[in-house]
Amino acid sequence: MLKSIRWTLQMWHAAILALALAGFGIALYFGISRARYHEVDAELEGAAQVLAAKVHVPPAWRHEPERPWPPRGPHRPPGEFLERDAALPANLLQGFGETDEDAPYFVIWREGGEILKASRPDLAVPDPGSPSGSAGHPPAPQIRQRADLREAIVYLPIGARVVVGASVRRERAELHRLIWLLVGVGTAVLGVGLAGGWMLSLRAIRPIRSIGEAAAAISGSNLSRRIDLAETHSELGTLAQVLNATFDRLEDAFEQQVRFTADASHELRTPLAVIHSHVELALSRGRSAEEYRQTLETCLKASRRMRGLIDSLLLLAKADAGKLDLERQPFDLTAVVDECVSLVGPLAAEKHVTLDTEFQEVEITGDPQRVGQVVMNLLTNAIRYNIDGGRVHVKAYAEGADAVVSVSDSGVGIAAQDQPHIFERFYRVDKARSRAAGGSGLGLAICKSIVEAHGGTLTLDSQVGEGATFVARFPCVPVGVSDQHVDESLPAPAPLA
Amino acid sequence: MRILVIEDEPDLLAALAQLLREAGYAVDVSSDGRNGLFKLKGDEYDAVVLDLMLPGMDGLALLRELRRTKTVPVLILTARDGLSDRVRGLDSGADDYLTKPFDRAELLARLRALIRRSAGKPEPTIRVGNVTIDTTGRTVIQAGQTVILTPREYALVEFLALHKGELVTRTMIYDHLFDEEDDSLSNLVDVHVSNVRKKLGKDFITTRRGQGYQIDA
Repeated sequence: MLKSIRWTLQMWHAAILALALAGFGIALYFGISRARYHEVDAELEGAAQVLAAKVHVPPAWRHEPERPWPPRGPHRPPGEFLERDAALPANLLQGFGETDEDAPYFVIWREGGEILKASRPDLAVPDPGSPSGSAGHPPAPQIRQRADLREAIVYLPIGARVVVGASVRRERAELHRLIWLLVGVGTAVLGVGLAGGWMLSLRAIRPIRSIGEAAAAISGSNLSRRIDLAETHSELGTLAQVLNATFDRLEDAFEQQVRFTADASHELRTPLAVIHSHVELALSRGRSAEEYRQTLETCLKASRRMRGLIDSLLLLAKADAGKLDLERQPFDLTAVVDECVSLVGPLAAEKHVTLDTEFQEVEITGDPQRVGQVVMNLLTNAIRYNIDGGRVHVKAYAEGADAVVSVSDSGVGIAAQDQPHIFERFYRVDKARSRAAGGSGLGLAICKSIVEAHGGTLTLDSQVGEGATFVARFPCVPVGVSDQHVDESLPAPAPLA
Repeated sequence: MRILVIEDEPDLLAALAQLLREAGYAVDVSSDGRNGLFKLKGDEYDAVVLDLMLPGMDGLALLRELRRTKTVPVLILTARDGLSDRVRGLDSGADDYLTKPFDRAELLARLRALIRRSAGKPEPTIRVGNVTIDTTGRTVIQAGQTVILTPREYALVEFLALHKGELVTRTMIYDHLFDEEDDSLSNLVDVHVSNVRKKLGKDFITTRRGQGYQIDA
């Protein structure tokens, strides 16, 4: 559960929301609380100042504001008295209510500590004393809180002090209620936020789950299913499209593989049918020694054909798996091409095809036998598919960082619609020719696999009526040539069927 | 009975031709589609053995083209054995389908069945009077006794029996008894008819003057 995106999202969402709400709530509370108390304090202080003004200060004191504070010594005032109407201002009484419990009160002390006047005689208000203020001046008015009572203290230059206090019980209760309100609302908002967030993440995750389900079903046995794009939107829609495209490619590759296997087994069936029919026929009645001999020869021929086919198939299978055992040695490419040209000399002569060559010294790293196989195949094709008295032009040269071998023939050429398929396995342009010549449609596919295993490319350039040119390009600096050991046990590859 | 074999693999074509000839059929061969179609349009055959993967013209295309004009039974012989291949082959007009490699006995039995069916005589044994012709064993029994016939004579008897009750012209007999390589004279037919009459009785084969021969039903 901890790894789930939904839960992680939810956790973070909850944490941030809670933090925000808490911060907001606290700030709000303190703001309100301060404002409220300030109001109260201002009123109390105001009242204290009013009363302080009513304390009679001897005239001498009024004119000597630089008297030292606290007042001591021989300059102590003889005594102060209050004006008769010293009482708390009416508006203060209104503000704080007039019930005995909560009614505001005041106490005035003389410098010596005796109570000059108190609004109620039973008040137990502690005397703030006459603390030292800044040099020469009485301390500034103060506020103090005793339990539910808040008091403002004003100091007079003559050493007297006035305390006006009131119960802030109601204020405190209000603020308490505010706390609960804030907590309640905050929790509700948090709850709604979390619920909303949960539903949102559910809606977002659902398409992901449906993609996952579809993909799982697809990779099972049914390769033709696709993710239903209508269910998904925006970023997930793109993901679905990409996945569908991947599955398309997978299905194609799979179909190709199935087709290849089917084609291979069909190709093998024909020589097998030859052997089967000939042997059955030979055994169906008494035959002469000559007839038996001919039957055996035919069987041998078919058996060779099957062997060649199986070798080709095995090579292609290895190439597909990336396990083509190639040697990796530097060799003279031109020498190999030259040798192949000599080997096809008789075939060319038989078909009245002339071979001409254009060679440059060029060396590559790879497997000379396999490369020779490729060149032989290209040359024999060029001769077989040529016109009587035609030409085959063979070139080997270096071009940039590549070594190039090109084989051009003056044959009938290859039609545009066949060209993209010509390197496909079992593809035959004209079924007649290749069967009669003993081919199975794998020659060019094998050439391509070998060339590509050397890190090279094999391309075709042709137009109908103007012959065909096959160009094999090998990197002089080897790229991706298999590093595997040379398999000594394998026989030298037979010429391609 | 005359059969056309269309197959491009030369060794297999040779084996098929030999095995069919040794089984008593007159056999023509062709190794590509267009040539095969040409022969089919020009001559009468009792059955066709057709390979699908043909050069020049695909086997199925040949079949569809053939079916526009001819009803000759066709047995497809091919390496492709997928279900869709079989269905396609049969739907294109083939009458039977055999995959390679095939057994000689099965090929012959299926061909016999096709020929019987196409002649409208589904029973493997044909009775004419007191003569019983077993097309499977290629034997003729008259009144309980096996009658020895040469392969050509048997072919003649079987052909006439399969067309029991119908008039068969001399040309038809000639076309169905000899393959294209044979350049025997056509009056060889009369010789064979006469030989059969010697062995099975004069009334076995009726002559229709100027038209042909017939075995009465």
